[in-house]
Amino acid sequence: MRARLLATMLMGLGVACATSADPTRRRTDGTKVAEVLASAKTPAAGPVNALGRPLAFLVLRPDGSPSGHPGTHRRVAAVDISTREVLWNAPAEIEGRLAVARTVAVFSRPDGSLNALALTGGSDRWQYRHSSDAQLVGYAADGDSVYVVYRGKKGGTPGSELVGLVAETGSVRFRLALSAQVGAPAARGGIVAVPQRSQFITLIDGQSGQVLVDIISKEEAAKFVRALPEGLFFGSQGVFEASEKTALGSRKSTGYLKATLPDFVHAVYHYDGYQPAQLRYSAVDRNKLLWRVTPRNGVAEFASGMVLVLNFRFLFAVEAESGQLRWAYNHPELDIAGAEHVGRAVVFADSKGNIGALDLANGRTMWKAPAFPGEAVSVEGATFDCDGFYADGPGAEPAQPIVKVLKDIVLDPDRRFADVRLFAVSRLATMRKPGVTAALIEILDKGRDHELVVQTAAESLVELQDPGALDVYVKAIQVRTDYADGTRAQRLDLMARAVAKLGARKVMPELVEHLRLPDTDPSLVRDIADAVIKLKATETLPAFRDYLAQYRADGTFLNRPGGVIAAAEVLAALGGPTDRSLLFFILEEPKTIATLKTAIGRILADLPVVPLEGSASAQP
Amino acid sequence: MLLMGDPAVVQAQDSTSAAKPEKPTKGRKKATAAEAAGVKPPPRLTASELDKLSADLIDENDQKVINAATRLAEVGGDEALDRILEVLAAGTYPRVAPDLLDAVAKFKNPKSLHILVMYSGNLNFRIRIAAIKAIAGLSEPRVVEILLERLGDPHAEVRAIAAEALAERKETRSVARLFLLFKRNDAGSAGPLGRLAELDMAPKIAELRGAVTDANLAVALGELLKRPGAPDRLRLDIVRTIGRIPGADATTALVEFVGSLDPKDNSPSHGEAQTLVDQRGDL
Repeated sequence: MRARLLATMLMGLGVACATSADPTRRRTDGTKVAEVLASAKTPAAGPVNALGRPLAFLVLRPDGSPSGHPGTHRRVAAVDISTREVLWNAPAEIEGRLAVARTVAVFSRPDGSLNALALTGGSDRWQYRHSSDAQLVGYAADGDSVYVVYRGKKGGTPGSELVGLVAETGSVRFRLALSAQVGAPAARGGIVAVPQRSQFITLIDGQSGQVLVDIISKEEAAKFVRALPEGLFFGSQGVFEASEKTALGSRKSTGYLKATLPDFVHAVYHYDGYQPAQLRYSAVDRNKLLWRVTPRNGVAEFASGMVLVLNFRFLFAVEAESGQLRWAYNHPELDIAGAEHVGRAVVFADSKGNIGALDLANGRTMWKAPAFPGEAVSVEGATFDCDGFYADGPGAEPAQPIVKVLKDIVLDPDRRFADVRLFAVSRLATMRKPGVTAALIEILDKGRDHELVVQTAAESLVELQDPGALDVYVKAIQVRTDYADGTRAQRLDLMARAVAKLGARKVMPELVEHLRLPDTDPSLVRDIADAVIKLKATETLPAFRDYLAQYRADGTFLNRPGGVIAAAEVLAALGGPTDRSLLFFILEEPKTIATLKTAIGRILADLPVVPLEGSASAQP
Repeated sequence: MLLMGDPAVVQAQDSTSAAKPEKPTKGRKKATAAEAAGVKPPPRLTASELDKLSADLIDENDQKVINAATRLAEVGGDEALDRILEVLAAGTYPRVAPDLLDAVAKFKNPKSLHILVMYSGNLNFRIRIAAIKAIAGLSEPRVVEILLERLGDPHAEVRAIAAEALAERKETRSVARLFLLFKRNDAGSAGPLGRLAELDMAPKIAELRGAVTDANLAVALGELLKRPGAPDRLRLDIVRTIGRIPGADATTALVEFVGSLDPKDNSPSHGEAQTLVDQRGDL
């Protein structure tokens, strides 16, 4: 009823108004969906903008604008990423994310109006303000048109509506009443898609505003709709490619895609169209998935079989099917303010105005350069219009070995990313690549501020059993804690377990030498002793004798006797009759701490009976 | 009671490669340097006295242990040393170990080196201090390596003792590690570094102003200043650098420098140092 009233009102204003768009009153028709989608014009390859240049739009904070542009407003800078040329840099009272049409870039302002900047020069082209106090929910650009959705307030008039605007002038092409629960639109090739009631995607003629057909998402909330050159997509936990097959929103259809992702990933396939707050550049732009889709044998697939996990400073290329990591990128020190999958490359801009591109094939840096060389800028967000961009430039680097990248991520001093570091070390541990053992040892050495990371590295190291890494273990074991050099001994318990598994007896003397050092915690002696016993490293017995002698009467071992007991066990297991005599002596000597006495009594009782040196009779 | 013939003791001594107990010295003792110089040697112990002291060394009464060790050190001789080394080799309470090690130090006998090395890595820093002091008194070539290693000890006092011993030995191989310690603002390294470093290290040391305490900087530069053979131009630079350092340590360095010179020395560095001392006195 409200919709009819709205339509009447709008007609009275002389604006063409389509019929009511309540999707619950219509039936979904897969064939019709296919027809409508087929009627959409296929976008030309490359950038949308009429300049034909690959552009990055950087939104600069007021306090971080380039010199010569002081002010309280944000600024928008358009940069040609093929030439690194700043085409223009204009003040803008920008709040919402930029959307790029052929001749203008539009964005929302804090007052809820829509503003357009000319792509040539960045001047204000037009402004559209809704006549009511309805809330701006979202907008989209499609060639020469711009579409904006407003949501009516509860109990207020008018209700929600979609407004079609001419991109060049901002004049209204149509208005269409929508259901109360409406999300941000997307548009492609003359078809506008609007999510409604979290369940429907209504396809609308972008010229007339006529509702064409609805897609219903039965098995998953349709929180977003996204237009890409390759099609229209919707979903929330996964991605449906809009098609006849997905017209009923079944996840079993071949048009549904959901990547296998690491646990730490916040799986945001696209902005939540029902959350106006997500119109703004925010953390969502820095922590989301980047993906494209290619049809393959009639079945939709993520492009190249992978999705990219953008996590503030890191990018992980993950195989969508298996979740395996293909490559990783560690952006030094700064957050990535915005990034986009443009086909064969990922383009990005960081928070200080450095822009660049990564080759999707291997993650190598194709180029990276500051947009404003020598100037301190602060980038709030970035939008890209450079589909298909793929070119090398300044700052190009060869692909980094994934082992090194993951190790650097684990050891990154930025403390915000505990979960990412844990993921990186876990993946590192599963790799059978050169350098993994050395990387894990380095992580053990330098990553001590993160207990879980160290624990994972440690367990992995023990399990690796990499015989080719013996020299790495030797070098690691040789490192001693030294105040002057600032070095710290490795986790000797782990080293001991690892080399014991490897059967590396030759490193035992180096390992056991640590017993003679004041920095070696007695709690580590147990694993060292176990390794020595396992590998029958009898050449290390003198060190254990010394250890036992030095500490057998040391009261600090009374409640933590593990170290001395372990030393006694080594002598019992590998020593000869004289070592047994020593154990008997320690057992009987009054100064020996009680806990050690008890343990030695048990050890000796468990030993097979052999005649003691110089004794004719056997003793236990 | 722990006896020489106890297999455990023999085992412990074998394991540390300590020299085996010597046979009684009766009949083959040569005159010591002290005897040759006419100094009356301490009276030798009778067998029963030696046994009594040996028993005291493993007594539960700490004072008895300490007194026995002191007495054995006074008497000297291999047999007395062996008795102390046997106790250390078999292990004893940490509270008396430093006293036993102090006693061993008095012998300055290289046969004690292995036991001393063993205790130089003890978890208890007081024991390490005593062991390092004893090692420092030995003239074995291996001693330098041990002292260099202990420059990296976690306890400042152990590092300081090792540094001082290396400086006493004029062991210039220690300069690199001493400088590392100095950069970490380690107080014990300042003096030894100043005494051992090449004079051309003065600017490198002076550059650390702000990174290390004024006191440490003043001590290191003050020692460099006193080095013989330093060109007066360098001394003048150092004097001026010390002059810019506030505090009593800097003043002391200048006073010591002035005091080390002939009053008639009329070098510019002397004059400048004297002026600075006078100015500081006026403050």
